[in-house]
Amino acid sequence: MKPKIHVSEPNLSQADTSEEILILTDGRILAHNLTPDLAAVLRELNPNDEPMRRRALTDRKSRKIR
Amino acid sequence: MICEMINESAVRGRDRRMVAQERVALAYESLSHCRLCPHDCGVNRLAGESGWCRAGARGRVFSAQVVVGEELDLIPTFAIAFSGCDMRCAFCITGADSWNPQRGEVFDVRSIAAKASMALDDGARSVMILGGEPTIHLPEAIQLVAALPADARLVWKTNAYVTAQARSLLAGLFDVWVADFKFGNDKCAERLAAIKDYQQPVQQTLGWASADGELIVRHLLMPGHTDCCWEPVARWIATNLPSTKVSLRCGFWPAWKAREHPELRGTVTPAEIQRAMDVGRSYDLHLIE
Repeated sequence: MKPKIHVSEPNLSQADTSEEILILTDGRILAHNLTPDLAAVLRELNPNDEPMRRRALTDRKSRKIR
Repeated sequence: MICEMINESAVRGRDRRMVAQERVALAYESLSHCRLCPHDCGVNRLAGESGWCRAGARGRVFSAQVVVGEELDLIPTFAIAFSGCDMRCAFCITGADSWNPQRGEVFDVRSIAAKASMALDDGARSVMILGGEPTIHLPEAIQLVAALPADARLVWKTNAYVTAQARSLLAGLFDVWVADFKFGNDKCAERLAAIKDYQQPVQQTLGWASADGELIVRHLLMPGHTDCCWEPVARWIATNLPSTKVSLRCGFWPAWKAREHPELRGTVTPAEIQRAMDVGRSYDLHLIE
């Protein structure tokens, strides 16, 4: 298995956040620097992912963290 | 000498920000003969010298953002990552930033403290200081503690490869220590992280941290290292810190230079995760997510 990795170049001035995900061939998704927004996206991709559900905390309307 | 100048038990009940402010000068002084980690370089970082970690006198930050991938009890946390490290883990997920103390932006205490305070106002439950290894930038980390709200829940995320001097400067400043126990033996530590005397200082730090505040011991499960690393780590915790929270992280991916080591070229399999959980349960560890 050859995982594909997206590597971002963090720049605090230009970007507020940076995160990385690794999608495995067996369907597992690993994340590094998991932000609330990314957690919300991953939860939507797999609503049955219970650990992700607990990490997906962002209320996108208010942009506040619950 | 610095250890003797700090009365660790005198911290309790005092305003953490004041205690931190009082220690900033001592922490900077420690850089003039740096012995913050067991490499014991003794270089004068204030005069432009650098030792094993190559860090200078000024810390840099490569990431500062709200994240939710840490332990559930801590998230959302505003995580501030200093560049540079005193270890060389081949599989480091932030290798480019962690191995190079020149990455990121020069630390600005006002700016970072303002961002952290804003995140707390927006609902972040904690502020986490990490790296790389934040210990090598102790003066700035302590400055930051002095600038953060007194009631903020502060988390110190460390590789635990630090000295008594560093621990003494940190005493009483953090509510939670998240400390890695990465390797179950010195051989794996030397081969994968270029550290010869790993076990003793790390175990000392874990024992000390459990008395200083809340401790979460983290272990990143590595492919092929359940028996040589996780099992001895689990056994040590069960024997020495039986009630401590343990965070077994199973999201290993072959980052940075992991591919130089054949067994680290893939991820951890579901079967390995199951076996690792069984090991944790067999030692009756307090496993947390």
